[in-house]
Amino acid sequence: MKTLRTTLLAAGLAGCLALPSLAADKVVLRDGSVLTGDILEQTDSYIRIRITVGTVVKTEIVFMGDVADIEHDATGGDTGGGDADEDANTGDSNGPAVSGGVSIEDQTPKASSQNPGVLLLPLKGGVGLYIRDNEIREVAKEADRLREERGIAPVIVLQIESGGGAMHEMYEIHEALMELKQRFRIVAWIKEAISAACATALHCDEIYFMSEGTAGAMTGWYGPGISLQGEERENWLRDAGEWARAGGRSPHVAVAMIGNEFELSYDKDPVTGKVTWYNNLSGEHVLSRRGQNLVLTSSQALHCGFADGVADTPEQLAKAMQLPEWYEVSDFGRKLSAEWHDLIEKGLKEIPKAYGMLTVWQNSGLDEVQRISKMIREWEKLLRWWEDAPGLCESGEVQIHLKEDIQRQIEGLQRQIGEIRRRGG
Amino acid sequence: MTMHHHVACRYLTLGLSAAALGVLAVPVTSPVEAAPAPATVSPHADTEDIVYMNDGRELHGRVVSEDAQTVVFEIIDRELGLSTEIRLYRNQIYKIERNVAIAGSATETTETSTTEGEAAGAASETASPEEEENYDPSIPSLYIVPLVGQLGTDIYHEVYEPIIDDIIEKNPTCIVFAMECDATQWKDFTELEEYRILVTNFRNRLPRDIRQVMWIDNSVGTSSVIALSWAEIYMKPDARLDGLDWVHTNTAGWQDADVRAKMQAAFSGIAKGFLEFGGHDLELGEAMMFPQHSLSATFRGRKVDWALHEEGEVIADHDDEATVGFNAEDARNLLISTETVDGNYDTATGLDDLAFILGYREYRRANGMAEDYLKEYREDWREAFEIASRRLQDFQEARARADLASNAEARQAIGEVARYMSKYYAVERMIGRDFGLQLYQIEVILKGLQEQARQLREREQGRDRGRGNGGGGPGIPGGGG
Repeated sequence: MKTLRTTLLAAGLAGCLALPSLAADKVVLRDGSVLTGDILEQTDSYIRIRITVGTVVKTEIVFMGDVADIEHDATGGDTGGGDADEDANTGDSNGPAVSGGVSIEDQTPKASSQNPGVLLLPLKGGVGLYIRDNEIREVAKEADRLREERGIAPVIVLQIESGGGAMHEMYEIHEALMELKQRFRIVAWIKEAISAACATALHCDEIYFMSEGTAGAMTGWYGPGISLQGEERENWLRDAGEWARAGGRSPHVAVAMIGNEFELSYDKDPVTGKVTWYNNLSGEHVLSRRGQNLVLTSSQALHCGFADGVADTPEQLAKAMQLPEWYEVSDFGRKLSAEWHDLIEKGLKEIPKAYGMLTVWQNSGLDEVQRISKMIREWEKLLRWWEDAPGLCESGEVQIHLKEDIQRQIEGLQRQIGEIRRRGG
Repeated sequence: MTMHHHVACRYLTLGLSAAALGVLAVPVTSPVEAAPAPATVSPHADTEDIVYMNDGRELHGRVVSEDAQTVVFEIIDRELGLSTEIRLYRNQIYKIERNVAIAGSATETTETSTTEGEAAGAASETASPEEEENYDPSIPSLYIVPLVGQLGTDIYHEVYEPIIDDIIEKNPTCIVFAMECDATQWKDFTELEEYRILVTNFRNRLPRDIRQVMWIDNSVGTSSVIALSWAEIYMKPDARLDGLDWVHTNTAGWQDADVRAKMQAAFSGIAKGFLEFGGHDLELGEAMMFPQHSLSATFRGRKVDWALHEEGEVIADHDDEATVGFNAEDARNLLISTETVDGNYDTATGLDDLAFILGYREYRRANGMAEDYLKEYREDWREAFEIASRRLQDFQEARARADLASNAEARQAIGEVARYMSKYYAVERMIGRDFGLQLYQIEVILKGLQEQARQLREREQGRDRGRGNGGGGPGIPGGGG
């Protein structure tokens, strides 16, 4: 991500060369650089701003994690500070945007009406924390924009590597995918799709596995290790079966991935390749016996038709998908995913660290006002995490007070300082 | 494991001549288009192309045409003066040598000739760095990649990154992964997702025409799924391929039957993904992970059908209370491994037998960085971990004493621990496991010690505000497991 931030910094500094505009929005980045232009889109995750560099008009995406301030319709004019002028001639303002590990500008653009291109979204990590419907919807918006710009919508590739996660998020993702697959070709490319991640993949009309890919084990369960029971279980079996059907797959496969009492086998016509599924062991190929839960490997998935192909590289995937070549029309999805990942990883460390520092200041020998001020600062850090990453704070992955409780703590400490000062302390 | 039915050992046939036209022995999996009528060939060409097949055959002739998947090759028999064309699939070819001088031709050079004595199976001497510039590039080269030690520390994908770059630069004929891992000695970190990265890096980032083989000195533990990621496996006589029972052990404790089945399927599924790489039967992996399964093998020529029952030709496991593991002899007899080969990669002649079995009458070492680099890495991080562990004890002792000198000592000690953890991920990992301490926690500890120092200084200067007991901050959590 250092590369990303550097690039955005370069873009930001370059943006300070923008010709003065009569009225313009201004985005101030945390590093002090400023982008001036027209904000085309602003979401909780990012801002899309159109800037002019010299005579070149370009669109930049800035993620909220890097934004310090936004001014709408700020007057233009001299947009550069001293630093901007110093750096005005450094770097290449028209240089390539570098995504997380992929420089898509290195690709020879061969987009044509025959090649819709690909918009890849890595779905890596726990569902509910790292994987959310938010990112899927944002990518769809980008796909809409690309369709308008290029006249053809890209294929959305969900590159899945996850051991599963929260069921409630799964239903949010379900809503998003059922809506979006009406408008886009959405493909799952599986390295690991366990549990809720498999349920995500099921929605896709096309599924491709990497050689090492696995998918299945969709049993719903509660924290202490208790599986869903009764009506909840029945509802999940029904829903998962319907999602499988919506993706063109047998619901028998989905239920065998949920309950260990379900058997699953199939016959495959040697001439036509047609697969006939059985919820018993009468088929020639047995996938799941009583007492087992179903997880498919790549060869199993390919043979039974659950997967449409096996591909280990983007080039192989393009071929399997019958695209002329692998061409990523935008690295938006990769950046979006990487940015969110980085934020989560940071929070998993910074939040416990803030609590550690609260203890340090609690026990310190500083004068009262200083001590309380430092504690307020740590509580404010925790409050910012609720604003920057509410999903992380709600996930249970990290221990953090509720937002209201943090606000109460801050207010209480501020009152203490007020009283001390009134006493003349 | 007791063999209930003796299976004759099978050996690769090496270096078969393709002289008998029309009677070419081709692997079942390699579709070969029908050869047209044999044509006559001029005996006067001075060079030829040689295709070395994965099954050990050498085909002499010339490459007619090729694409990403196939090579059309004209096999030429100069004795008979005949030739014929065949189509070969690249995944069956491990090397093509082009424009090789034909023995006895005008263009033959003395450097490429091989005496009969040498052809009997000896190997070239290990090339010293000074001799590198004189080596014959047509001699097959072996690049050794040790996978030695503890999974998760000695063996971790980031450590192998520079080796991949070195391999690409050296472009060897064959990579030999030399595995020596025993989880009973060094407890594995069992995060399969990490080792998946390691394996896919070697699979997907290296040129496909570089042969890759696994040579097992010993593999007990999670390393066995890594080993089974390769199709071509060799084992030393005393080696074992075993130790995947942890999948069962780690998942059997779930009381809920559905959750238990889910966890077992999930973990074993991820492990079986490795077997997909190596083309090994998933039932084999299942039996190695779960004790309740029996395992038997039925041979169909060179193919083995594995089944989780005892009705096959050979019963490999009938103990329903233990998982199955394999010694070298059984692994060879059951065609899990290709052959049993003794030797040591780190001695001058230790690769001779392996090279011979691999079909290389002559060979040279590729002079790769991996062996020295990894040895140095293992020694360095282990030394750093020992020091860091001692300094953690020093920190604990110093911290217990509430004076400025001890405070400084504690800060220095914990600071050193942080530096070693930052320098070596392996140290960070082991400190986390053995002491339950994470890097970010050390930042808090240091801050607490700084605050304590400030208070101690003020106390000494008589400006104690009578508050707290030093603000040393949180200590080290109770040791992890």
